[in-house]
Amino acid sequence: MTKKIRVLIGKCGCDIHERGALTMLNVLRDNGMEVIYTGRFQSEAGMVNAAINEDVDVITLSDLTGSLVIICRKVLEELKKRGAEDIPVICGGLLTKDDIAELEKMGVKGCFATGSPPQGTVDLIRQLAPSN
Amino acid sequence: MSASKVKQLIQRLEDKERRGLAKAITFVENQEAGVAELMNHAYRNMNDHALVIGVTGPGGAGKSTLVDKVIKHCRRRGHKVGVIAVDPSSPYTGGAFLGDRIRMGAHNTDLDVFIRSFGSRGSMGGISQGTKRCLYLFKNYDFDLIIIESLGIGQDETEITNFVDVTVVTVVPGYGDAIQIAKAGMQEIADIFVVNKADKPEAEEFYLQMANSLHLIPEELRPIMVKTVATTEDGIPELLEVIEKVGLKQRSKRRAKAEIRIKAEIETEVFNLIRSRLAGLIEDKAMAAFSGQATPFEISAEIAGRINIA
Repeated sequence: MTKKIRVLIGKCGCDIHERGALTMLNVLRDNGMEVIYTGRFQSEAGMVNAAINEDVDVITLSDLTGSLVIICRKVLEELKKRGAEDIPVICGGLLTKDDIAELEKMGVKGCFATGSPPQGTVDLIRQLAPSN
Repeated sequence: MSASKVKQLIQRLEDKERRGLAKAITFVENQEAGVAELMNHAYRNMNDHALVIGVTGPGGAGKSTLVDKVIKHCRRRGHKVGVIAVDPSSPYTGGAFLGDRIRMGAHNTDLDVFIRSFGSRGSMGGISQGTKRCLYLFKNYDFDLIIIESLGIGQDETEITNFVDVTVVTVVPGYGDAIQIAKAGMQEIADIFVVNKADKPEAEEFYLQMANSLHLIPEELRPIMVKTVATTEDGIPELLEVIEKVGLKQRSKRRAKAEIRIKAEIETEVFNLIRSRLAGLIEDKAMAAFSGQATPFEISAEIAGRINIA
């Protein structure tokens, strides 16, 4: 058996800033993970459908417009609607302390504000992936 | 634990549940215990309903964009589409960046389109063992069209043709002249040649050069050429028409292809099983050669001699 960690990196809404997503994409790939990128301007429903079809271990959402609270809430709702709330969600990007508190309250498993060292995300994903 | 997991997956396949398909693919890709039982079930229960097309060609030729537009036009006709999209895995870390979805984002919310990205996981270009097996899983569902988008193209990448009904090779002007096309052995595998990015100034010359070299092939065997500009959807309706036409013709070859494919599959499978059984022995014996007790050739002959075929 050769278990491989699969991660979805997604960007929802009208955010053009892609650098964070692309950086993490390289970091996760170089850590031996299969990283699926949805590209920009996606909807939350599309994100969840993609995550289900790809059977990812973790959904990571990147956003630099300060909308992560809104995006994550919608993604968590969609996951529930599709009966896939077992897929953990983490996020990274522009975050305030209040944002992080709220995100953690709603069930987001990890928040990485700009400037966080990438290794933290790698470690958390390894922890969150089932049977690892 | 794992036995009940297999039973559960088989049940989900029978219920045609989409997340069940996603879970079954992971199960097969990771070669979890019980995969043989799942595959036996999937093989016995697959249907022949879907037209399977393979899209291949060099990186950057626009395969994903082309597939995106083909999906779009098929959806207009109400067809359900399954997509197997393969991207390379790193031979060093095993990691992979699977980016085919980026071009297919428009279908993310469409529940009648099932797109699954695969890392090549150690196979040399084309489709991995896991991917081939997953095609049987897809065939347990009610897709009208299954598209396999495989990475790159290589001299040894003729295998894909036996897994699909129609092979589409995507080429672009500026990738070399017709000599390159002749070299790569693409002519033999293609049912359809798509000259994508046909709005480039050098496209016409490239098209003519290619058409010229293809004219050496007898007409009934000659691949059909289609010009497209995938980004603007120019030529996509024509491509679909050609795919349907070729598909109809190729369906009659299904039995012959299946024969070749089944032989090849059994061969790979047998060698894989033997390899996993002998791995430990080879490791042990290698030390003997290393310390000079025997030559590598003597040891190879000895190990091979242990396989008794009645």
